[in-house]
Amino acid sequence: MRVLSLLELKDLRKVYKQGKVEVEALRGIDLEVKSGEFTSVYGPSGSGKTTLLNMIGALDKPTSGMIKINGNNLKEMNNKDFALLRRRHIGFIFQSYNLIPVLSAYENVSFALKIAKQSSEGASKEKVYQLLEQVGLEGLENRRPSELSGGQKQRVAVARALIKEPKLILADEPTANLDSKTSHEVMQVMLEMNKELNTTFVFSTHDSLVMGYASRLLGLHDGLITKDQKRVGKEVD
Amino acid sequence: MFLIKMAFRNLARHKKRTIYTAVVIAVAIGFYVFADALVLGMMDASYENVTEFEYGHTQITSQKYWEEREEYPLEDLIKVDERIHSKIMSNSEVVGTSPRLDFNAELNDGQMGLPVVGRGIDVSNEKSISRIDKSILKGGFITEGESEAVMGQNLANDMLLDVGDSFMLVVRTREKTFNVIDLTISGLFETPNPQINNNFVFVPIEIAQNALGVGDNYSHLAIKLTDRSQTENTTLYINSLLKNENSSYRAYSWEEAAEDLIKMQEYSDAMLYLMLGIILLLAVVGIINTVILSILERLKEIGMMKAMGMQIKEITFVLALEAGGIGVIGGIIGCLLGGLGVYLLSTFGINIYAGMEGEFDLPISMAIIYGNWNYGAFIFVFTYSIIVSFIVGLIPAYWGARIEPAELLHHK
Repeated sequence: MRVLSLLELKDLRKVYKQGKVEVEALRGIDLEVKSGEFTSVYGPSGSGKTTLLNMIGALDKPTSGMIKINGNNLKEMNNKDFALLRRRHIGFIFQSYNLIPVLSAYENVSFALKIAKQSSEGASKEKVYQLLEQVGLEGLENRRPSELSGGQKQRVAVARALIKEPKLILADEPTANLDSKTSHEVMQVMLEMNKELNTTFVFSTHDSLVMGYASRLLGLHDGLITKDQKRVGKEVD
Repeated sequence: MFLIKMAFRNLARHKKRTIYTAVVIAVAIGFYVFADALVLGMMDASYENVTEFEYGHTQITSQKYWEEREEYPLEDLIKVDERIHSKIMSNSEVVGTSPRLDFNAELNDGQMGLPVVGRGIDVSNEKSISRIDKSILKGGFITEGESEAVMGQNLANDMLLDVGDSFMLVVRTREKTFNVIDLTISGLFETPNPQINNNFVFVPIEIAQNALGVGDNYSHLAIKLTDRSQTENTTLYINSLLKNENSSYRAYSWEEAAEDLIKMQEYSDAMLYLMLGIILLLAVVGIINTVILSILERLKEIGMMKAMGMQIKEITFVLALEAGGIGVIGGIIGCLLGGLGVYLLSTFGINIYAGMEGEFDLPISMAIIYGNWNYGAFIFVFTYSIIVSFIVGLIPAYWGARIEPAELLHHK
């Protein structure tokens, strides 16, 4: 069966101006990511990983080049369209979790669903509880972020990203703040969700342990993809 | 509902800051509600003064007299026809009527003179429409047909007069000749109306009519109603009655008679709004400050909301809700504070003019003033504080919501 491209980048460039100095963060990225891939972007600090994820997630605009997500060309979209694209098709997981501290684990996940406006009240409640159980947070639904460990917080963030069933999840160093055991657990959860829901994951990391989970490895150096490796036994059919 | 709950929880993140801002709003609201109750109480007492001691709720007089009424002329006096009077009395809202003859006079004790207003009253009817007879501090009320007078204690003190003393009222008759009314003080009164206390001398109407040569005519027929709120309707009724009877007289409500007082209330209201505005301006600065600090502390959180797909207008609304929440908290505290103040004011009253008797010539009440509950003021100011807080919150909220998501998420 042929797998369709979810993401297409062509000659993507991003230049930041820092005073009078121009910094080229991305220098012509060409990339195609298929639906259901579990892709890791790795590279040293300053290689452009976060910038790349920001561009893909429509959080920032490229200087030039093309980004297509699920057939939508971002160049033809305005800020409102970006917001709707993120709302419907993209989930985010961040290094520092970025949970809303005044909301419980349940409410943080539920909030994402409310923004996406996808389910009725009753259906969404069941869905949130089910997903929290799937990510291993059963019994912790009513705890606020301050009452959860780093790993538990990141599981909430994973559930929050997944609840609206997006086509693409972007994770910027999702395990950077976690110990290796917890990192394994979180990656395991992400991988399970990738397999169960066929959600495409693109995540950045420094950690070789985390890279081990990826079905595709993209090496980034000085704003260019220097390595693109599909891994045997993990690739998407 | 979810967003409102979240807004209130966010406010609890910085309790002290929220409380400080809310307290400023609460002070503004509490002050407004209290001041409103005080002014209402004061005006209510003043209205009571003018209706009870000066004009009645409504009065019948001739149009020409009305135009010159402040001069107390002896021209264009009236005498209401008995048939019309019976019809007026048959109105269920009319409690009683009393003819009054007002005239300029000089109070003279043989040594010095003081300009005063003489008021001839029908002794028995006057008791049914005013409280002047119940305001006697010393001595007794005047007797019908007797050459007796009552006056304010302040006025008597000024003239070194006391109960039982004789004095003269020097008057100009209708024929423009001078005449003297010899009178004995039967009693001294003190009403809450300084204008009556300081300027008026009450005598039996037949004595005044005789001395002034006006026959059995009088200046106006004062009418007391069951309630002040019935004034407008009953005045309209009397006027249509007078018109139907082809009378040249007209009925004038106490509000028409006490124009200065009504203007004073409008002025007081304007002052209240001004003060409310000034204090709320301080609150506005506090709200803007609170919302900006809140945004600066939560840039990543806002970035996350944008990453989740929330639009600028939605995030602006969420953040402005928090400002509205401060308005709600301030509104509740302010209404409670104000309510306590109004309760104390309405129960115990306040004597704001203590020691200032005789310094006012408006019929403002000199008695202890009791606050009036005005639930409309509570609702108005509570709603106002929420709306103002929300609108003011929109400005910094919009600023925060417009920042690019990548900038928000990677802010350090």
